Amino acid sequence: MTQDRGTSQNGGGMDDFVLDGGSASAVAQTPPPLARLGGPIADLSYRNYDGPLHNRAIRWWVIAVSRVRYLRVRWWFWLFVALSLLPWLFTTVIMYFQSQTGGVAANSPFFDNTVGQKYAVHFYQTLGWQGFWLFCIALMTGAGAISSDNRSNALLVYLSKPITKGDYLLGKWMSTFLMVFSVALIPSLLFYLYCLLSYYSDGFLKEEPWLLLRIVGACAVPAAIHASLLTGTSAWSKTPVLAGATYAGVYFVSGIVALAVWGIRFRGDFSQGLLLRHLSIGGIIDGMNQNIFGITQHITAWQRHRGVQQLTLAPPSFWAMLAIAAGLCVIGIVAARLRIRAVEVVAG
Amino acid sequence: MPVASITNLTVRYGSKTAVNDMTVQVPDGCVGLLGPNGAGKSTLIKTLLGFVKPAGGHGQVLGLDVATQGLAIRQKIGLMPEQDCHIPGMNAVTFAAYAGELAGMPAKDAMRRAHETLEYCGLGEARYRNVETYSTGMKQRIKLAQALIHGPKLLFLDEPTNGLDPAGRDEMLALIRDISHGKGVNVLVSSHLLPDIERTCDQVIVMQTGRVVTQGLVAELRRMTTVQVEVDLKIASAEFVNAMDRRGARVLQQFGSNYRFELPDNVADAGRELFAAARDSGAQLRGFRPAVRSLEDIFLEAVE
Amino acid sequence: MIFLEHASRWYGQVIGINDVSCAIPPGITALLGPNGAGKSTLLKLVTGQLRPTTGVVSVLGMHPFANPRVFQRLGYCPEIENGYDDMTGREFVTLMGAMSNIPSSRLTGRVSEVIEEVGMSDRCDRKIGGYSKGMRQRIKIAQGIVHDPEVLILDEPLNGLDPMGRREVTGLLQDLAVRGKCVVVSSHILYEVEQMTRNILIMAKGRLVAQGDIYEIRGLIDSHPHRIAISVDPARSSGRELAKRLLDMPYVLSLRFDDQNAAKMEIETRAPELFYSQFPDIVLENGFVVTEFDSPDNNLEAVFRYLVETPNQGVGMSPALPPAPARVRVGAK
Repeated sequence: MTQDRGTSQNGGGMDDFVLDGGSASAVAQTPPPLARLGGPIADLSYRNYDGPLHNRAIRWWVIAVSRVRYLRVRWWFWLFVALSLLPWLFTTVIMYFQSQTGGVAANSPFFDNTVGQKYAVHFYQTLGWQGFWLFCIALMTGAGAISSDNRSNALLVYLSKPITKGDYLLGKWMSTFLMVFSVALIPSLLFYLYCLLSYYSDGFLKEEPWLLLRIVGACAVPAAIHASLLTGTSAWSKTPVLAGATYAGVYFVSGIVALAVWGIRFRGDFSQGLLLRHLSIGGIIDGMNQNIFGITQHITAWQRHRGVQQLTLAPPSFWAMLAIAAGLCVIGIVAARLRIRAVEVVAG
Repeated sequence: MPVASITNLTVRYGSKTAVNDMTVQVPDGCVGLLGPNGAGKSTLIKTLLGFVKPAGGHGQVLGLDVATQGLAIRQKIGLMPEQDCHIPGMNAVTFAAYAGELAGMPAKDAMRRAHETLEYCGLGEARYRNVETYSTGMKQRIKLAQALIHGPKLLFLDEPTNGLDPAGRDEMLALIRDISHGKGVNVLVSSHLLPDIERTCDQVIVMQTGRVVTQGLVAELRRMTTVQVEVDLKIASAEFVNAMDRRGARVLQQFGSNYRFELPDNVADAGRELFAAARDSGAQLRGFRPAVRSLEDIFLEAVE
Repeated sequence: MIFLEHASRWYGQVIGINDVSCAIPPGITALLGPNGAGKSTLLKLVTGQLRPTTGVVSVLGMHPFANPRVFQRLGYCPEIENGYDDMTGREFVTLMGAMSNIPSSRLTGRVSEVIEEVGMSDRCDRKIGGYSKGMRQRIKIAQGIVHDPEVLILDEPLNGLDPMGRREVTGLLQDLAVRGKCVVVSSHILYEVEQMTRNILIMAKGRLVAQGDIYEIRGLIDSHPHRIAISVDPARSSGRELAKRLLDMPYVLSLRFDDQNAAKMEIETRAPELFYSQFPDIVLENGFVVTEFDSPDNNLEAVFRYLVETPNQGVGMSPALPPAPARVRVGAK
């Protein structure tokens, strides 16, 4: 008969086990896990973290997502999102009625049956109507993105972490971009699906095969421009409200000024001065989208000295629009980058 | 094995040379970084964080080169800045978890660890409130928590007791002492409050004008070269001084009823001399202790 | 020079200070207290930014609220750091001096004088926006003393200064005190206060807790008997033997050994005088070799802790609490 003694591994005062020799199989169950944990009382003081640490690749995503998380719980944000969906709702409804009444409404100003842009025109129009709400959503996301960080000195926290200025900037830019992009893209994709299901037999896909790509591009345009300019404005301010107000000011004033200058120079002649009329933030977005969708506008306009006329307007020069749009993006990003200088991490 | 070492480092900001040919080894454990304003402490910290491209020389932190591996360094160290800083619109838990994610932790680990770290730093129910509503003491704690969250091996603390009331200061110093002893975290504390450094750090580095002027174990730096005692009497007494004088001791300093005596080296029992002198002179002895150089004395001597 | 009589001030329902009566004499007085104790309210009342809801506040014999005659003889260095970033240090001090009715003929000279006193002569022509914390602190003090006030109120004046700067400013304040000014310093850094002055004013939760000399106050705190720590040389004397002798003394309430150092013990007594007078005899007659003895709580930090003793406000557990000491209780006989 043997007696087994379990030994205590940590001075936790484990008693010796005295096992009956007969139950030799029970020997396998030597001192219970408590000994491995270092005794019955847990050590609640500081523990080191030796777990996994990702590499850099997704840092900007973390930054972008944090802004979204912040907005997700704010009711006013969802209000604006709902409002921005109204244009799509409207378009869907009139399309539906048109399909039901079979062409009666085909001559209304909402429809344009020119081949190649019969459906694209809806996307173009609705995105245009949505433009103001997209601008609002961009403001909500972007105005406070960097300016509130400036105010609370958050850069000190960011820069002591393993991220670069580029990561930070990308994350901030992405938060506005993705927000605007999703709010534009998701309803448009749903509408596309609706059209696909309803009008496939009418040649929806065949007539306008690249429409899907054009939609993605057109949604990206306002997103990119707003994101860049807002990030730039936000970086130079310490108050979100001020940054937002500044950008809103620029947005509206540029629109007013462009129209005013065009009106004076070309005396309200719609067929002229196309480029000038589009020289505002909203105008550039509109111009780019017109190019992306390849829309030739047919409008009925009242001209001075000539009365009501039917006009055919090609989109404004693609390269000019692209250059300006790209330029705006670059300006915004560079401005932001300049401002996020290596902050004095520790003051002397 | 030093936790960080700098060799012949030169750092320039434009035309101004902040640090010139500096060499220092930062030992492991809890180290105090002292120096007058403008001594280059902040430049040293920025360099160790991998922000600054040195104009000359090189340095390494935890085995990583400061000039080329800045990002990897920042993943292994934590910084508790001096100024107020926080991420807007978050409560403590979200903030700490976010800081962890920025350092590369997976989201779930970051959240779990956030709670643990906040508990350790002494933020209880307040952790669910927006950080912007916090008092100074709580802001200091959350700054410490966000520095600790990813389990750094080296922690920089810049004026950690800034703005804390005496109770808060005690707690913060106890935290620093706890984390730097026995938990495997090396701590570098930069502060102007020398008694705080005395309470937490085992070693100090003293800098001035971009160079290290003194460095070593606090215990050794404080040792006296001669036998000196600090004595407290109830009331200042000239007879006591005379009695001590007769025993071969001389007075070095006096503040009111507090004296510092230097005794002859062969005195084996200082207490005996003092008690005897007190009895002879009728003075009331209220305390005596072997004198050590205070950190303040060490510091002032080093920089002057 | 400063008198408060049953002064109270509340903001809506929140109490700032509650029935505080005190007299602050010339010299340096330190105002201490945990955060939220009412120190800033007290300072605002004294500097005339607030009016007491009840009671009287009088500075230099006048009511300070919105009283320009008091402002001319009072200097205030608040804790806030921002503002006036576009001015140079000299311009700022000059502006403050001009607002205090210093005649313009003397102004420039006086400004240079105070700037030199605070040690900023070489840097006073740079914009304040680029100043470090310590430099801002010095300029703040300069603007506080430019008009040579009789009363000077300072809120955390040593914040941001390096040890040399601390010494300089402490010296400056002590100098002012010697010249008969009334200097009130509000600070959290107890050991610095200890070096500056022995006169303290402790507040907690809006009430005045204690006022006077640190050591006098200590002597009066009954609830905490005096603690005296004694160490012997273990090679030449037995700590336990000394302990036995001490326990024979009726005024020794309790004695405990340090659990990490068997040669160190701590006694508690309510009759420190008796102890101090008899202790040398005990040591010399029995030949004990005492290496040090000291009263660990005869200092400002202990006084503060005993009087204020607030539980941690809403914070979690404190880590690294010292282990509970092994107490040897006397009195079972």
